[in-house]
Amino acid sequence: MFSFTSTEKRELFIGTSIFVLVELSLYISPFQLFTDFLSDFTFFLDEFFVIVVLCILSIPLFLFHELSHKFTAQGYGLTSGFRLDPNFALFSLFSIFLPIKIIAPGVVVSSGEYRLDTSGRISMAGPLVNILIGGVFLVFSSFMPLDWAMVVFLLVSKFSFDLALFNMLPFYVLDGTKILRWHQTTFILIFSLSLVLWLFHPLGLLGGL
Amino acid sequence: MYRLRHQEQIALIIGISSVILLILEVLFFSNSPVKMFFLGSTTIGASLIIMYVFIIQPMKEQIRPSPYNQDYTIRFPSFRPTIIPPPAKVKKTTTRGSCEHCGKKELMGFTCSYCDGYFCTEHRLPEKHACIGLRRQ
Repeated sequence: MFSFTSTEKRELFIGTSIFVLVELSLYISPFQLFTDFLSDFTFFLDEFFVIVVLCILSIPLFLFHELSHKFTAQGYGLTSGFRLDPNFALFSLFSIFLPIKIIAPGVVVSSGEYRLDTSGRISMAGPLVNILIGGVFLVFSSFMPLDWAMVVFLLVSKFSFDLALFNMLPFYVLDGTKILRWHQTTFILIFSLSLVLWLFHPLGLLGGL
Repeated sequence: MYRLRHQEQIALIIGISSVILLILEVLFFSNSPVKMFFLGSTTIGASLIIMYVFIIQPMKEQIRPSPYNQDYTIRFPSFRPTIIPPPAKVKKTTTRGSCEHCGKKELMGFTCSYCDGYFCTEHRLPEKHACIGLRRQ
């Protein structure tokens, strides 16, 4: 069940790297980093350390999202694997420099015979895992004694809710479309859960921090 | 339209209640570690319940189509599959005769494993003698 081909491992690595870069670009501007590097090197080093910690903590967000789709599909008796979409991967990478971010470097493809509800359940797994991880990081952040560590944990949980909400949008091949096609009330529940968490997160639009 | 199971309906109600609870927590607590703790724990609880009821439980309960699975017979007591083993294939061995394709007499010919025909060295392969058994497969 937990087997991966070498291509899949490579594509998961590329996909995760793209996700981390896009998410970091939401909160840290590459131009600002460069300016800090030129003006205040000590501050830049501190900033760089925080970025490295953020990168490491953000890796499981995308990885667990895709793996949850894969393992759920396999649990329902389907053959499943992650595939990188070159066009969307490039588009996601390009969105680092754009005000609107796209996080869709690849997709988990499942083969075999399955019903509409199975497809919905497989799609539900990813956003739900992200909501769960976000919640765990939110709880961790409440116990952090250091300010910067608290902010890092809050940022990671915000990244997680970002990913959950983005995937719940009912467009194109995103998870939201498949859940909406299966059951509207379930879609509304998960969408509203991720929207509320995204909006009212301490670093969210209405969070007030 | 898909009809939700009873447990799924309850999980849906719990999920909606937790969304309302989250909004209430945001309204009542100021930005403090307490608020983050409550927000986080409500989120964990809600997502775990939804995940278990909507994903893990149906996975455990799903009917496997294989008749070899014991659960299948428990679910449908009237269904008792009788497994008929395939007949053992008796290989016909012939050491002399004439090729069924060209009619040439062959002392140590070949018996085709697909159609059981007797063929000469030249026509021993299924493609060479337009094998009926191969076409059927």
